[in-house]
Amino acid sequence: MPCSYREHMSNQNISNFLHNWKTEIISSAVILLCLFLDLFFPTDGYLQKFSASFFFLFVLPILYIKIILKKDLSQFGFNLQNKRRGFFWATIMLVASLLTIAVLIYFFNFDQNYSISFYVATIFPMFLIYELIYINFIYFINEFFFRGFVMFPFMKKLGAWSVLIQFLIFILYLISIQTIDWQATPLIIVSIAGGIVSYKNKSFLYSYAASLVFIIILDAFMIYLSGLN
Amino acid sequence: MNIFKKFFAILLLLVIIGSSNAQYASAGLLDFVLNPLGGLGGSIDSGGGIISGLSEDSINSIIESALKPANIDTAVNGIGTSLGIDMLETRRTLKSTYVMNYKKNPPSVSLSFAPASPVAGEEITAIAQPVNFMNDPKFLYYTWALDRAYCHPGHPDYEKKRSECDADGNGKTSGIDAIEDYKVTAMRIIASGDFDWKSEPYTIDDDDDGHKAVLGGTDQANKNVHCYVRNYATGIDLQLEPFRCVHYFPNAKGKLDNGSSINEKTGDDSFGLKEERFWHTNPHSKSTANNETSDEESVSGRGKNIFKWNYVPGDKIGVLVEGVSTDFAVAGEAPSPIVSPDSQLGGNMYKDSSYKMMWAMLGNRGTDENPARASNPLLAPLSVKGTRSFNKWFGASLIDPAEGTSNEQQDISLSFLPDNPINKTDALIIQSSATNVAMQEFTAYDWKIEKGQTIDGPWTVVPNSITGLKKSSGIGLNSIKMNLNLPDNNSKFYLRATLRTSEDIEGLEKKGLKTLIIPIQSSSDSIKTLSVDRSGNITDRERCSSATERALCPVFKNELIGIEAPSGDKFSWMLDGNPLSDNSNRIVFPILTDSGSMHTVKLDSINSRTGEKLTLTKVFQVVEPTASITSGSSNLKPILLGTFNDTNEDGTITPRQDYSTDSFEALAGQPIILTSSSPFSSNKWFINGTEINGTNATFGASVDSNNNLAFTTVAGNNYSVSNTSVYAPTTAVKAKIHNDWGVPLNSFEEKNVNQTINIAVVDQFSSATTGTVAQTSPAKQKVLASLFSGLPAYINFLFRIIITMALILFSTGIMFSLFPKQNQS
Repeated sequence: MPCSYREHMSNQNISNFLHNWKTEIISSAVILLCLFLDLFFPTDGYLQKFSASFFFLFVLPILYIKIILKKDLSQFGFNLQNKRRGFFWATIMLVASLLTIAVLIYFFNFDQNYSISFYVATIFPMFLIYELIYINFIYFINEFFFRGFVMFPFMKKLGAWSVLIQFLIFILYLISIQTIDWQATPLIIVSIAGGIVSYKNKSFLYSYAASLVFIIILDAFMIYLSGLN
Repeated sequence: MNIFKKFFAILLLLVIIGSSNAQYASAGLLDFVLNPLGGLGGSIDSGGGIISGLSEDSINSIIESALKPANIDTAVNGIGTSLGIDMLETRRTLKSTYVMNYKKNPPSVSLSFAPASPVAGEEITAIAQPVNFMNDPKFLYYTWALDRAYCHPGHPDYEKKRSECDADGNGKTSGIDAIEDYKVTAMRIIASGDFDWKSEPYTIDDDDDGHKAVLGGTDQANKNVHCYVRNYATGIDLQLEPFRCVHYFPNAKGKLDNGSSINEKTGDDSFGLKEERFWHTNPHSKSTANNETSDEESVSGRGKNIFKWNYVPGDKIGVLVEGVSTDFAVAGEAPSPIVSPDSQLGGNMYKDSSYKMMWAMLGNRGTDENPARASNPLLAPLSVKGTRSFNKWFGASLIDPAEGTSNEQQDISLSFLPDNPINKTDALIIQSSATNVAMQEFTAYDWKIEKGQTIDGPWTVVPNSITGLKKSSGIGLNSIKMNLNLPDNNSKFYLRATLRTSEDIEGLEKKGLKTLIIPIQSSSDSIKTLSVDRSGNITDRERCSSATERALCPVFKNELIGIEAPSGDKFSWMLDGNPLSDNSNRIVFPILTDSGSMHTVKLDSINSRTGEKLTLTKVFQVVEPTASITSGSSNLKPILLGTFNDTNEDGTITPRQDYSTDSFEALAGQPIILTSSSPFSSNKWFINGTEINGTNATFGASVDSNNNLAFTTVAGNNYSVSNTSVYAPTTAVKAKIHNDWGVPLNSFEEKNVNQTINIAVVDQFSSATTGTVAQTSPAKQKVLASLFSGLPAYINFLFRIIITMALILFSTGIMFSLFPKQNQS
């Protein structure tokens, strides 16, 4: 039985919608799948856990971008364009993040609740290894995935709302791994501030650099306050 | 010549004659005294004129002759012999008494240290042990002296600490003058404790902490005092002039830390502010160190036989103990004109309550003045100059606590367990202990194990691969445990354990070496377990002969067990540590405990001919009575449950197939024969619940005289075959246990022993019963699994990740293709 014109238009709208939003829809599915696998893929030990994060939050998104979407990584924020603007916003982000921490310390005793490894605090080479390898790895993966792979597919169509979307996904991720505590505070701050910087510069590398400097300054300051230095 | 002289001459003459005449001697001296002339009998009568006719020369000659030492000795010996006295021994005793006084031990003191081998910075405790003092040790005065190592030029801390070395502040820190500093240093530690004297302004003294010292110890008050010093070479105690008879305590004489001078005597019942400051004590506390004595009493050392300080390598310590000797005081007045070593005996003892007041130091230190050269041999010569002399002797007596321990050998002793180790059975534990090791956990141990066929060797080293030792040397390895699994089938051989120890204490290495030879018996000799028949008599049938059961022999409750010694002719049996009354080579004992318990039989045997001693043990475990059904028939096969992999000693793996003991397959229409291992009574067979008694037509089954069940299977049937029996000791066994071991007859109980197997009748055996098929089939199926299980876990992990990612990418690619194209219309 031939369908009516309204039905025909409705089907056509759905078809157009699916066509126009297919990248966002499938990317959302891939994002959720990546996070799911990062959380629940069976691992044994820290090395396999890190490896799983590396593959599912970094390698798999890259392969998806290059093979499935057939796009350049620079379109997902992996670029250094607008250097002056980028450094400006990175500096703003750094200052804002540090001010936030200052407020948390002053009003909420953040320094009493944020802990850092005794070895990292007392052995300087250990501090360097911790910040430049361990923290660097986590923050880079974090920036690439949330401020790059998650945020940029939505940026074109949703604009600044993409910052909020990546932030909410990140919060959901933290909730799922049950780490909403003072220890995750720097990551939450970086998630908002980094999202804004990435949005403004169309690059997550500036927010990555700013977040890394931020966490190093924060940890160093906490060690200073602890008196263990 | 008077009559007395004549009488004396005759008396002596008669004594001489009598001493050589046993008969006269036996007549008795009393008769001679009462009737001197009559006693001589006729000879005197005939010679009565002789006496009166003796010339003076003759009498003098007789007297001289009688007075010759040899003749006197002969005479005295004769008298002594007549009285039953050993004159030689008596003479020795008299001579010993004569010199005994010179050999008396004077008061002395020794020190012991804890720890025996001190290390730098560690608190060390010196304990003085005075002997030969009359006083209770707590009433003695102990003057300690501490010579700090850093107070000597050349020590690394000398420049930094030299200001502390002039303890009394008199500016003299060398030679005999330094001894006062040593004494002040030590007694300050005792008196001040941990008091923070530098924070004390020393403005008011309100603690009344004086002490009036008593010469010879606080328990000698109101007694006369006579002081002596020992000349150890001659054994003579030289009396000091009264003005030298004083305390030799350290005095507060010198300068205080604020520069003011001080000259206060210790023990004068006055302990003022300046003395408090000098001794670093608290002017507001009667006992600054809280040591039960007032501050001045502490400085005088009353009862302070323990001294603690933080040790610095090179420190020297000494103690001077003042008290009264156990010896009476003797006036230093020699009986003129005799000047001889025994003159001390001639001195007059003071007729008062006094004993000799003396001082004791380490190392027999005292005056070395020769009394023979002095004007009065018993008075100390003028060269003994009070404090200076005492300090000279005292300074020479100081010792280093580490001295004598740092260089000496470590005193190691070795022991081993068990007492009679058996090769291929026991684990040998060798333990060491050392009495003079400072820190055992930091002592290096190096063990060497050697084997020899005789106790004299020759010895060959046994490598760790055979002893099973993971390491034979290392720090703190004070004992080793090795498996006795030596490739030696001789009945007896020896192991020699050599232990070398070394410990580094302040750069000095202490070493120890000890060797222990351990006799090892071969496990080829073992206690044989024998069956006991229904009459309770031991038989020759051996049980528990398999390798597993030889180590742990299963037995049943209320069962009699027979055991036999392998060799020897004298035996001693012990059951769980209690001796068994039967000491023959074959004995029987009952098992009276419930299942799960263990019993150990120990045998000590001696071969009188060879002298060989043997000690063996056998362990029995009480288990529930069981039996099994088996078959030698090729028509019946057990189901294969799986395969165990046994790892061999060389690392290779031997698969071992595990067959069911109660599930079988049997070929249809074929006869099978089943045998029960039950040795118990009332043995019955059942097929599908029907008892087979003799023959049974239903199943075509029969039970033969050996109690074997035979029947022919029918296709399509399954059989449940059971064997039941009852375990109960026979009347004879019960009577024996009752009579010999006192077990009540009503305490025995029966136990049913059942075993059932299931037989499935098949046309041909399935793969589950044939080892070859069962083994190879899974192997083919698990090639891929084996490949992956052999790979490192991380490679497998990466492989899974890559597979997962590839799947995701493939799926998303599919999804993109499925999404509708944009409709241009």
